[in-house]
Amino acid sequence: MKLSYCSLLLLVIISSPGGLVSAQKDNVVETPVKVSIPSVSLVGFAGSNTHLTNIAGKGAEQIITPSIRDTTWLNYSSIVDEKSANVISVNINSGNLPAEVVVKLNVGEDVGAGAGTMGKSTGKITLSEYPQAIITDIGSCYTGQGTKKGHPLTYSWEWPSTYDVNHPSIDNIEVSVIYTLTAGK
Amino acid sequence: MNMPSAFLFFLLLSVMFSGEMIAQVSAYDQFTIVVNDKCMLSTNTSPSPVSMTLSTSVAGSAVSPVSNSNMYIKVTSIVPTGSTRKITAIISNGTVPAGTILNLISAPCTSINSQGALGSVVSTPITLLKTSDQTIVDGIGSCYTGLSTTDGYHLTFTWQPDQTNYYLINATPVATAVTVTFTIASNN
Repeated sequence: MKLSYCSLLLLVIISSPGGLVSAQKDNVVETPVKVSIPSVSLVGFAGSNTHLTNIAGKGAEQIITPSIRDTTWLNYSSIVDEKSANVISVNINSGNLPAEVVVKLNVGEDVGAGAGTMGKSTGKITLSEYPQAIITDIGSCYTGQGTKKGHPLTYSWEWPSTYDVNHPSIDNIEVSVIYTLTAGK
Repeated sequence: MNMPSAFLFFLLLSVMFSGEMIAQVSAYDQFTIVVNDKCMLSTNTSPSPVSMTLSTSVAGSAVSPVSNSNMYIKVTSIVPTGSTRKITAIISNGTVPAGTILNLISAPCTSINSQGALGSVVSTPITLLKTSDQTIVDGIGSCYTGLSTTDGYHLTFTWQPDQTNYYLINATPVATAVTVTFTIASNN
């Protein structure tokens, strides 16, 4: 009897440490949780025939040649604030494209593998050294990563009728195309 | 044994017996005074915040779920016979950013410095709400969890995008503050 009384008293003493008694309501505790969402603007490619590099501060670069026939897939991730939308633009960065040769780019709509507010394709453009918007009104979204995710890109090359498309120099044409994802106006 | 000595023996017995009775009653009285109904709760992190950032570094991928397991809840509980307590959680201030979900789960109480009826944890994560308290540990009897930093019910917060409402996510230049309140309360 005496022993069990002592051990019970001891249990109560042990289980009532001074540090816990100070709060006004002992049975409630509040914890602050801080959550942050930085903006995100990432663009990349997927496909079998992509010569790709990321250029810090500029975007993603693809080297295209007349032999590219396969579709390239443009993948992106975007987190915007409530007042903004992102835009993807494209321009020729460098290369040895003969002045008389035209490269057209067709941008398809997003195929729906991701979620969120996807951008809208502007359709077909002629590539130039000046940046042109190809996907606009991009909200907070992601396309998914890989082929058959995001927007399909297809290139078409147009030659003057007098042009000798069998000339060996055509194989040496390489054009660097840069895609950038930026905050829309 | 003659009559007077039998009477004396009986008297002696009854005096001894009643003496024992008094001692027991006295001990029982002290027991009820000392063992108060107790229930106390604290954390190792409060008031320093649990911080999480939702982001991705891969073009095409969704922002990744992020977890924080810095927090332990410590409890001291003495319950009346037959009753149990539970620990509940609710968002008492602030709002979880649109397009995201804040989940919480508790691991069973750490064993090194704990004793007693520590209850059982709810085995699937709860999605924290502003509107109702939700149980994360139930069936707590008389127990203590221990006091050191890593004693107690080990909590894991997981913050993730809500796929169907992904479009509602907004970049926030400043961190959003959300207050989670934990309560230990009787089940009865």
